[in-house]
Amino acid sequence: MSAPKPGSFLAGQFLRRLLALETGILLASFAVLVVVTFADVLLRRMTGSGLMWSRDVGIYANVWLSMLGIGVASGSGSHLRPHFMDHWIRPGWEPVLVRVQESLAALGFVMLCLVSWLVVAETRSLGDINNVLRWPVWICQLCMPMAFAFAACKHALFAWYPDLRPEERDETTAAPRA
Amino acid sequence: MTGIGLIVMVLLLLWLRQYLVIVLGAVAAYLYLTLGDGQITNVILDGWDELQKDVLIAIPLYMLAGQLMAEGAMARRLVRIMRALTAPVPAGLAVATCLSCGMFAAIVGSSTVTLLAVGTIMYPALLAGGYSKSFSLGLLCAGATLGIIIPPSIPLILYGVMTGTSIADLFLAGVGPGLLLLGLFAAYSLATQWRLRGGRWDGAEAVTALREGFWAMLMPVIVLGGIYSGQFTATESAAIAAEYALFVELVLYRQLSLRGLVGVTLDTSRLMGGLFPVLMMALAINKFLIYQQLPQMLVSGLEGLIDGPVAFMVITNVLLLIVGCLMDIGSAILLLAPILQPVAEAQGLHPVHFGIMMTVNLEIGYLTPPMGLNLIVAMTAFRESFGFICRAVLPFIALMLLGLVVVAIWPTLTLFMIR
Repeated sequence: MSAPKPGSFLAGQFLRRLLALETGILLASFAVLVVVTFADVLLRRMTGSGLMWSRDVGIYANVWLSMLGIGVASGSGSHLRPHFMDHWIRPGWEPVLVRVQESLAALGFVMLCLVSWLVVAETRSLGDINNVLRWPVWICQLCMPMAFAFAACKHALFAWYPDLRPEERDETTAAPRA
Repeated sequence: MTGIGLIVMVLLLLWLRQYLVIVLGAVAAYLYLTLGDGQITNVILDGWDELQKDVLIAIPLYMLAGQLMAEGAMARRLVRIMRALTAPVPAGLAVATCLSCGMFAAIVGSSTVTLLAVGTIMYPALLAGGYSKSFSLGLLCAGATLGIIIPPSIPLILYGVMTGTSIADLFLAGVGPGLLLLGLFAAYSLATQWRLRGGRWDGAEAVTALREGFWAMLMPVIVLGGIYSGQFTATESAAIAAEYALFVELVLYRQLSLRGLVGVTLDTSRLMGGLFPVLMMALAINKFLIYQQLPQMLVSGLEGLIDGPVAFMVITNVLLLIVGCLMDIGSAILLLAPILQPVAEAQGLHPVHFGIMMTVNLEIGYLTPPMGLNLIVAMTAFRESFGFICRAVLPFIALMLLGLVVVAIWPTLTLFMIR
């Protein structure tokens, strides 16, 4: 195994801080989702009427949770990926292919980030408001460019510093993929 | 020409090991740019609109409940009850494994979580009880797939979202086929392992197990009873499941620390982060295809080629068995359900029946190489070779194929609860 590149330590630190930020937002979103949906069900059963705004808050919390989860999935190598073509390549090309894979993934996430940023900007210029919550919709949509940007950063760093790249894990468990 | 370009692009991206979200994003962009109005921002806008469905909230909540049970004490206590109750039965441990998988599946909705939660407890117990490695691994891998079909099931939610089929109806319809498969596994265990007895009936152990596992046993009653009695929607029952699991693990059983809770939440978020962006892109493509009337074109195009529902079922099942070998069930449902379901409906199949048949079929993919998820998880968790596990699941694949045939040709088994 080759020695880590200079800068790998700093990149690792950056990734850990990014994960801490994502974790904070994720935990907050999850807490909101669980508390609000349960409070709504409970109130509806007890008083006959639930929280009018709970559906919209729950949906936004779910979207933020899922979107910010992209970065966590990137950082733990657990994105869904069909593996059936994995052996259609010479073993000697593996190190190069890993860099190409991560670079392309970073590029893909950059594209998604740019397009979703355009969507957010358009929604903002149109002044769209959520009718129930009276919140500007663009603020809720911000999670998309943010999440795609975080994921792009991670994959770009994995391409540059392959030693930081996590082992690919099975998509639905924590088990490492053999 | 557009079609050839699309296929080449997809194959190239897959060969370069791109994640499904990137592949589907590229497909969506390609379709919107070449066949749509050229506005690439509509990919994200359509995906965003589709994510506003409140039924999607059920997915993280069921996942959280499952992870909490697997990490905490509920899984262990459920397994203990099943062991105590089946101790005097021939092949009692094997039957207990089947029942534990079925019971756990009825709460968690995930095959691999069921395999890990039940398997880590039952695999050593089965070996100690004299069962062969091959039988034990095969049974655990197959039993865990019940999580896919016994409601609440995340693939069934995905099917409902992608095809507009009632999720409550799908949940109700999953019970019959789930019990059929459970019965087949238990019957096979009895038939092949009847010489092995776990021990004599121990009333005191049964009472203790039931007392200590009472709160865990209540979980499926609350979750499924609420849905089946019409008291809760799928989303409401998911909220109650998550909250109940939190309450039981943190307050009653107290075997899950706050650090453990954070870990469970992060694990669930990781799973969501893998699934939802793919779902978003698949929903955007689905919306585009519906707008372009592709399902209708496919239906009219295939009408001349497929001679009746039997031929359709045979062709579809063979196709799905191949697909199940190559990709995971979630991706397969996201990609194929919106295309195949209108064709099935045109052939006279009930959308709920078709959804259940599709799910049972893809469930077999968990046991088939090269991509069988349960094979890979079992190989890692139980440290056995891939080839050995592949051979171990062969009898169970045969049983599941038998179950699939019954589900396909006998719609009443699926539809009796919703009629």
